[in-house]
Amino acid sequence: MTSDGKVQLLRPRITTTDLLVGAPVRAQTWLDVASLAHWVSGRGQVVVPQHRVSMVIDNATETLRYYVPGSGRAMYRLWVLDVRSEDSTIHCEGTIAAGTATQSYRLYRSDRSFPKMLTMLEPDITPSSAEGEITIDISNDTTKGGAILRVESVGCWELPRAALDRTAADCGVSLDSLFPRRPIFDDGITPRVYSVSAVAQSIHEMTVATPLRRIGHIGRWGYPLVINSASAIPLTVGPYRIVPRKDRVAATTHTVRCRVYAANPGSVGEVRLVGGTAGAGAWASMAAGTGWSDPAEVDIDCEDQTTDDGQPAGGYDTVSVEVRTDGVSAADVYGWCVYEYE
Amino acid sequence: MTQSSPFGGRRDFDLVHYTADRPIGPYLARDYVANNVMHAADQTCARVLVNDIAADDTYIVDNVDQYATAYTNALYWHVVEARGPFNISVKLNADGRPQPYRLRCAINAASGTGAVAVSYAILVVPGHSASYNVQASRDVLTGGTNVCVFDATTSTTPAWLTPAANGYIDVNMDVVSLGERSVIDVPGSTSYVGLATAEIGIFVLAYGSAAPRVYGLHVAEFHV
Repeated sequence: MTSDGKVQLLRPRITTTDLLVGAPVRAQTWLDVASLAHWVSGRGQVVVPQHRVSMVIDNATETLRYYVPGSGRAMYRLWVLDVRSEDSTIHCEGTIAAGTATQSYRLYRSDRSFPKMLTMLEPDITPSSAEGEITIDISNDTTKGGAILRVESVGCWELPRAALDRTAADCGVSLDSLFPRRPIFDDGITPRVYSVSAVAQSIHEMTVATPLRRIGHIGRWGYPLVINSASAIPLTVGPYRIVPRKDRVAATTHTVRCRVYAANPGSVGEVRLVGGTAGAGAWASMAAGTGWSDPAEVDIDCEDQTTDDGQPAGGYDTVSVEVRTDGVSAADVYGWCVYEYE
Repeated sequence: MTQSSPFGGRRDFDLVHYTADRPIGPYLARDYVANNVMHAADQTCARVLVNDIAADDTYIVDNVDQYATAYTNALYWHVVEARGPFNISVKLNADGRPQPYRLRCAINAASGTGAVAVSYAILVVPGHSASYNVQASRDVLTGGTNVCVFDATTSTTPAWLTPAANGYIDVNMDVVSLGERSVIDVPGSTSYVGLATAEIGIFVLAYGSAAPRVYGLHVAEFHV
């Protein structure tokens, strides 16, 4: 493979003090800028922050569903799971499947002070930043004397790219073309590949035209909450803590979006987000039947880069997911996801 | 300050400045191109690793606890549960010294028995660490730099606890495990992607007979 599109493991550093009025921009600076751009573009996002599932699986398969955007570059997702056997003396075995991949697992004991952390690599991801459903199937097989499986928590993050393709979608540029003493030219024939203009184009693409997001903020899947109330019902024992990214220079808030997966046979369910600072957002409709709701949105105080820990003035903001029906027909809410909107 | 970019926010710029026969000076390079990619690295690449708060089991028919519990009357630090592994952001200075990202840590918890104090701690250790329990327990006990300890609580009502010191942990090369994973990447042939992984442990210390309960966690990267 070419080394031209390499994504580095550690974040490269740009020395901005080298950029002096009246002095030319050094080739080394452009190379540093392009290397950092590759790191940003190819790093991958956490699409589902790890969260408590608290499901027990007997001789059955559970499908966990999440609705998230992607970074637009990832070709692999890594699922991380904390699982236990429900019986301290009996083994536990089964399979985990995501996308085109399936792998088996076998647990030998269930000392609760000793977590069993499994990973599952999901290949063949089509790079996309579009919002959509991703799933993981967890099967437990008790037919060979195995015990019930307890799924404590699940999360999912995108694997970094080894190298970026030099295309508009991947935002890769030719690093070799930026080495000192290489000619500076406008790459009019194959835009976005060679020299300084390609660096500008790729950074324009990832920060101005289609800005990359800090994607996953909240994910939840588990046993359904049966909601049958015309009043707003918070789905959790308290609000989530949430710190979206700061976008533009003067930004103090960022819009986050939520979708809820529910069985809504009466087609009367609605969902909304309630921000700690902004208050309640507008109600959005759940899908008729079973599926993901329309998006509900609210503005959240974003990270403050002038403080030592990024904490916004007034403290960290919070968000709650609330649901209501008509008080006659129930909605069974299995999961919800909150992610940054644009 | 948690920003490295000159302006602390992305700025629109016009690609017409970077087309043929136009000179590119330090103003354009720093204030737009470098600023934007540094801001993206600071903010977009600082990710939320764990975010959780227990579902309200009042509305859940299936009788499974929505919070994590631990052994009672355990007068020593021990792990309640674990999260990860995660691929962690690390940055190096030009001279090779690590310039840390940090993990913002918060825990929502309670004591299972009123008046019995319970302490909680969040710990970061290298991914796939074989000595997880032994070394990690010692790190918590001795207050290592990879540990965030929270003030003890006696309340049975879940609440976000106050960190005893800083509510974050510095991420440096000591708390990550470097490794590689083979992937099929751009050219369609096998290549290797580097990973710097870490795992997160949640520890508890009960000062009597209590059933500690962890209701929520928040662990997120931020740039220093």
